[in-house]
Amino acid sequence: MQMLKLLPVRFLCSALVYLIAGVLLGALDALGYGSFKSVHSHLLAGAFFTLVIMGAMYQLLPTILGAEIRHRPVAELSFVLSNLGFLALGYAFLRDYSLLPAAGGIALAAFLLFAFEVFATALSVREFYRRSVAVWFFLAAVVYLVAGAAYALLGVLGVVGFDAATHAHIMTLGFVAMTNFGGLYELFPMLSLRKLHSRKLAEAHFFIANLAALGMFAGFAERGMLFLLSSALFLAGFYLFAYNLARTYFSKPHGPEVEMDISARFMAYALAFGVAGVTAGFARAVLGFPDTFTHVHLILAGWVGLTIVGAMYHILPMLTWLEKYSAKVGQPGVPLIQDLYNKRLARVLFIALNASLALFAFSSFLPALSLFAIPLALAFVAFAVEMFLVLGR
Amino acid sequence: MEKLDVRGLPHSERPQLIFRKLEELGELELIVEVKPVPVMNMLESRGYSCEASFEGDAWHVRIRKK
Repeated sequence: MQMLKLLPVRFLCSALVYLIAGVLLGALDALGYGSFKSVHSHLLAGAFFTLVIMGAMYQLLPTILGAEIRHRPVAELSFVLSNLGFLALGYAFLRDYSLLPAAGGIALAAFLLFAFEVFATALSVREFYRRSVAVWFFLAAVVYLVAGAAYALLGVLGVVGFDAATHAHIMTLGFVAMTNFGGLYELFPMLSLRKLHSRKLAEAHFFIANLAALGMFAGFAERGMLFLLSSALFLAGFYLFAYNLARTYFSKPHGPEVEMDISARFMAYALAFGVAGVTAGFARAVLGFPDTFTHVHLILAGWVGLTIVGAMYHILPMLTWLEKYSAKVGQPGVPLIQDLYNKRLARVLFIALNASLALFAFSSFLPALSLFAIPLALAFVAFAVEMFLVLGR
Repeated sequence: MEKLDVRGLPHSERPQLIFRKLEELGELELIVEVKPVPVMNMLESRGYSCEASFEGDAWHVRIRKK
């Protein structure tokens, strides 16, 4: 496969394999055919999200900064080790918990290399912090990634007391959400051909989100006032973020009105899931309602999952076209970038993913809604297969 | 050098337009919101030189045959 020589593509392809495995196991669990929660969450929120983020950051960060990745062999090694780590983690959760320290150690080594490379690339550019607020969020995110993995490893080794919810929130609220904030501040205006409504608000959000995240991590064990105040602050920051992107979405485009890009549409709808998910999380912290299942699936599958689907619909056709067809422009049979994916399937997946996610997230209230695990899993698998087909076109 | 301003064009339409124009003209000055690093790398590997500078509120990339 010609495309696999590109490092970001290798990360995205391996992530898609974990996506297929993770959603299928999740669907089996939801329908009562076994108990796969740990492996499901680590394949999706762990392997899938992390590998997509690593691949996207290796692609996006140099583009935003106008620089090159500093040490390519380090980035290559982080690919091998992160996959090895996640495979070992998956096996350990399914078969043999005693392998967790080794698996966690390999994953931590991969994340350290990745964090080193991200910082080295950013610091190689003068005044990198002026280029985009996305860079701020990306740098914070990789710190949380290393912290979350180190905390889990030390917990498994018995060096520190381990709280699974704290680990999950350092990884998802710290690493995944910060990356998503940065990615959306950069990609959403770009793909919707609009100017970000306010960079100042985005910068304010950076400080609010990080202050709130640190407060939440520190207050998790006790779930006391610090935790509640920090959760409220995170919620306020998220609303600010949503307001900034909504104002961007409804603003006048740079040029003439054109049909909204499929990637930007996925990202806009993902934002609605994000608002619902953080609101549900805060309501749960204060009122004990709704349950964790709803909060987690709205945020992770809805906000993060749909944002990733949107981002991949941009990145993979673009890279495929550049790699395979840019040298053949003018020759017969050269497709356009938008011809590399099936537009009808993209529209069907847009509806199927949004509708089945919105219903499945509430299946803990109405168990019959668990059936929507089937169309949801099928839609994600169809998306993954379509992305592999894009690379082959 | 002819200027090609791709600001406001859908991103999926830009690369083919840039490569087609280069095919026709051999050189051009590209005006774009974000420095197009992947396209520049691709062009440099194919015998073009790319000189990018940030001017006002956009990137100007002067692309020539080496």
